Amino acid sequence: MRRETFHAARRLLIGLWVGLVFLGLSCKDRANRSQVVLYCSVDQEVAEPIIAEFERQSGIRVLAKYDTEASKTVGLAQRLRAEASAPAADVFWSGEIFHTIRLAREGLLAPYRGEGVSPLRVAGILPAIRGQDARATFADPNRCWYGFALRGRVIGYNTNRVPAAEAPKSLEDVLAPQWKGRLVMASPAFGTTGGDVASWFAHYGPDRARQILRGLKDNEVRLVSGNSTAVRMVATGQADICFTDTDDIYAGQRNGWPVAMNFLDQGDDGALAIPNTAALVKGGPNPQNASVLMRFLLSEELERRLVESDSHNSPLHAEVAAEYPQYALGHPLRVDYGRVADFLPAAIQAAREILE
Amino acid sequence: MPIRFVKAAGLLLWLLVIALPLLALAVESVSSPAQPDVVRPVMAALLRTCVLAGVVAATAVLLGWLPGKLLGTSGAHTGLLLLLLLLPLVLPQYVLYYAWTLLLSPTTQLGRLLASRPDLARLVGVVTSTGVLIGWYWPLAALVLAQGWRSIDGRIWEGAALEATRSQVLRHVALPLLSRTTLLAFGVCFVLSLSEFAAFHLAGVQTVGTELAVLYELTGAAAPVARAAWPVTLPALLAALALTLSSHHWMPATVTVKPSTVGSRSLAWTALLLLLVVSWLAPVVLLVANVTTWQPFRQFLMLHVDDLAWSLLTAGVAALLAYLIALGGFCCSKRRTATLLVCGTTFLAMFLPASLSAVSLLKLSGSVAPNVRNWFLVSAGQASRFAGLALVLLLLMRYPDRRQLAEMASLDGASPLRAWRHVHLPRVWPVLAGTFLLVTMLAFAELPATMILLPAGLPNFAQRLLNQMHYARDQQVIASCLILMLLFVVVAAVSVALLRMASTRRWLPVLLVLAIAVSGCGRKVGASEPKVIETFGKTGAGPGEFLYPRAIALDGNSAVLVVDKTGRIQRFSQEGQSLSTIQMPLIEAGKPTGMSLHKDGRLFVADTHYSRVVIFSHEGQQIGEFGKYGQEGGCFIYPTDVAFAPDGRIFVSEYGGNDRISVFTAEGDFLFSFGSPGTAEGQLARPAALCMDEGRGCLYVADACNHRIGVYDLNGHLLRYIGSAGLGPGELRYPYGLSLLDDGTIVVCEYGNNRLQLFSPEGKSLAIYGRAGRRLGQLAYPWAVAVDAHRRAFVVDAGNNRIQVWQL
Repeated sequence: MRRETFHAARRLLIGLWVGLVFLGLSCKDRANRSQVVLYCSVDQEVAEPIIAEFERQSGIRVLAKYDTEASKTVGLAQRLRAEASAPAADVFWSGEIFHTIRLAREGLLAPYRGEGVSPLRVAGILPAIRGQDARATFADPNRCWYGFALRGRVIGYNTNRVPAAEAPKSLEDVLAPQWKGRLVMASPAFGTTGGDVASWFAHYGPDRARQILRGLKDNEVRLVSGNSTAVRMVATGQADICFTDTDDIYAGQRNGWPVAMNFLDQGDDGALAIPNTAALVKGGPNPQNASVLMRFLLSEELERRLVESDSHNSPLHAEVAAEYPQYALGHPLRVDYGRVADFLPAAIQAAREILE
Repeated sequence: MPIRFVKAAGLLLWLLVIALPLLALAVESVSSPAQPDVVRPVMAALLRTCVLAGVVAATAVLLGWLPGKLLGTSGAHTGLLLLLLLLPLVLPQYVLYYAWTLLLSPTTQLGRLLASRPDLARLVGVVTSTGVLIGWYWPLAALVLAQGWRSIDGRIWEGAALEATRSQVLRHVALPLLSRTTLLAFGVCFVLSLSEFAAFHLAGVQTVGTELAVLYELTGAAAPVARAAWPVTLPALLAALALTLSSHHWMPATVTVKPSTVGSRSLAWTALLLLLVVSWLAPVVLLVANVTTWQPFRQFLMLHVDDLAWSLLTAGVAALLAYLIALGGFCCSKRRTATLLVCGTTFLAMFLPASLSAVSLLKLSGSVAPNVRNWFLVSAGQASRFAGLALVLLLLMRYPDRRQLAEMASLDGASPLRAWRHVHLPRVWPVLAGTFLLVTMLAFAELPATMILLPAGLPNFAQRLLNQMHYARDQQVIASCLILMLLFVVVAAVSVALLRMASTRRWLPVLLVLAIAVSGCGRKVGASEPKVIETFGKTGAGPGEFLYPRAIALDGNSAVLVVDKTGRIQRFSQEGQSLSTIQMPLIEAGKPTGMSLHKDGRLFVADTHYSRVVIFSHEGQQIGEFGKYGQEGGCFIYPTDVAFAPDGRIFVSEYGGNDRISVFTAEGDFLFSFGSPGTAEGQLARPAALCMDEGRGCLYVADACNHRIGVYDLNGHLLRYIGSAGLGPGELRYPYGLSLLDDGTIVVCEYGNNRLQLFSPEGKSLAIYGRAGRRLGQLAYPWAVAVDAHRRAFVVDAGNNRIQVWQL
């Protein structure tokens, strides 16, 4: 009798939960007619007008889930992993590349071979890889992800406190004692900073990378919650220099803040260029609409919009690059992104151990 | 019935939104393996967080002292004060922080100055975030402190003020009496600050709150979050327990401290206004002053109105859920165990980091329907966080005489819903409107839970605002913040207007809950209109007038004896002419509530408040008395009525701790007693009247507070009961009077149902006469009834100060 009562109570509670959960689901089911679910870690203010344009052109409604600056791409990547058994997303548009590569290796992304993925003429902004097919560098060999619209890693500095001539121009410069207590950087656990640190491991080797981290620690680097916070701290005089991305410096300059940037050269080999990536989520609920969105994300039109946006990404399409030479990444680092992605967990772990 | 409905709905929601997620969280945190790598950043930030939270809480309590005193001792301006105190809480902390950073922006003079001094700039960064939190928490501390001031007995205060200086009163009276409340205010602010997220996050200050908020995103699992939250879970548990235990006793003192005795009001008002200027007005002015273009406003209205609509919908639903959960807890607040469980967990959910509840809700819903996310979950997460606050405000809303008012309204025939609408709502609507508004706006701006629970495709205002702040889009942020304030004004106006109308207009369909509740109330009972033969008496202390008559006895077919609260026993003719008066010898302690006429003409009066039975001769001379105060045999506490057995024995009922029937010889010597206080079979709760059925050899006892008539044999053995608690036929509410028709029909006077009900000797309800009201045929608080041989019932219509004579 007690057992029956227990089971009845359990069924009742589960039933109540189901009822409540589905109470608010009308919008989800109602919209199934023509929609696509997008997980997007590109800045919301930048991505929204672009998505609105896609909706206008295609008639497909985009249900977008944006990241927050608190957790950046990591949050959405973890969500995709958590949903692996029953994916809710169709397309993953990331502001960086490393977590996308890892997701592809984990089998969570599906290949896309539609329009918009023909070989790209090498952009003039990328002299280091001139003469090669950009897709070879910025796409997955298995076509599970594609890169476009780059951002660069930079050293931001306060123009009132640091003369341009004295501003550090490479990672090695930052290790100089004169910058002791004057540097901030975002926590490597989230965002592009983790990828940047991983690229040190790939480029210099783990030993030298750890040495660099210890050097930063000796210089009393302070960790903050994100790249934009780092730039704000530089702008407000709480620090003199920071590691950040190009778009965060552009945002500060838009507000009239006294900030400028030098590319974060690793040795003399260039600064890390970080492309946006687009990928199909394996088993997503709207595969056809997802292909339409992928075609749009990989189009020249979209890249042009990103270049013209406040983010001012560097384009891969040569035609767009020719129009906007001011946003060229002068000397991008030649690096195997797959290898950087391999180093990512170890690099983050090491950075946290040494810096926190 | 409406109360039951609201309680059931509230408890069900509590179970789903608070209890089950907390339980799942507890299981998760205990059963999952330790993950030191994940927990380390939280632990690293613990000391810094505790120091910052301690500074925030201590300063908030100091700043909130004077406004709290002002609110707690204010008689006239409570509504205005409450509104002023709620103002700073409406703007989220991160908006306030951002507003201040506009002043410190590198483009300003101050910003440039700070930028030249890095150490000072760093200090200012931390101080700004901490200061903003202090500016947000002092009203909360003031609200808690006000409750402490409200509960101080004004007589103690005035007595102390007569003999001591103001500082002595402060040290030796105020501080000891307010020490618990002050500690509670500190604890509440401290624990909430421990979990603070957005302001510290924007300021780049790592705290437990900022680390926990991103831990789920980092790990994608609930277990690490649950384990990492232990450092804040323990203080949260303690704070929830303290708040639960203390809120149980929140009730204003009968005599509160007079505003004029607590010192300078102008100083307190000045302090309050100054605090409001710094913590609310200055940030608003900063936002407005930094508007350089209207383009972002137009852009917002063109692109992001859906953000507002969806966020308002989820927040409104969250407020409704929080309200229902709080009402569930409020209804349980009379029972200690239920209070501990429901209120305690509701407070715990408020004190825990919101990301914890959100993660648990997500996991729980995922176990039922994998990967289903919707706006309702967002509302549930927000409600889980703010139900505790709604409960605190509801508990503060209690006022001392609310139960008596409800009872009086009920006696005037109001259903519970009507009583609530016409009696309570006009008194409490400002608090209700304020609570709903506050919870809606807090839910609207909530971030940690929303970030985790927000599904794809659901626009959200708060998340966009946070991202705009990160991207340093000052003009967009300012536009969003000012629109948020405008929204607050609109929502406030609508809430106030709705509740004002609900409290004053009859036609308004108030709220959904009430609309649903209507179906369960206004139950009609098949009462007959009595045939009124006669009525006599009116309000007054002169001959033929009454001040609350409470007992009646018929002297055969010739006279009617009535005793009222003047202590006079007036003799009337059956037509209502005043004939004579007997004055009770002592009335200072209280007046009689029962009397019976012996066959030999002697009048036995239950002199209730003098613990005795006084005997008068037919001419009105006191000829004897028996009984004294005590609990031993033959003693009384509050005797209520007297009845006579055929063999001459005298039965006396009493309440007040004895709650029994004592049996005496005809000479007044004690024989035995039966019954004891309680609700069980054979026990009594305020036996209010006795009636002897000589033909059947049994005694009817009106067991008033047990809402039943006990039937006993003349040796005190219980035979059966008639009636049970309720409004319907065969049910009783506070039977205070009994009489017997010649055919053995029992006539019961129901104080609680404002009616007479006739029962057959077997207990079957035969008829119901009368209802609540002031007209003839209607009753207000009837205390007693006597019937004559012509089936005429003389009803003591106490609330109307008259005797009505009805033909049954």
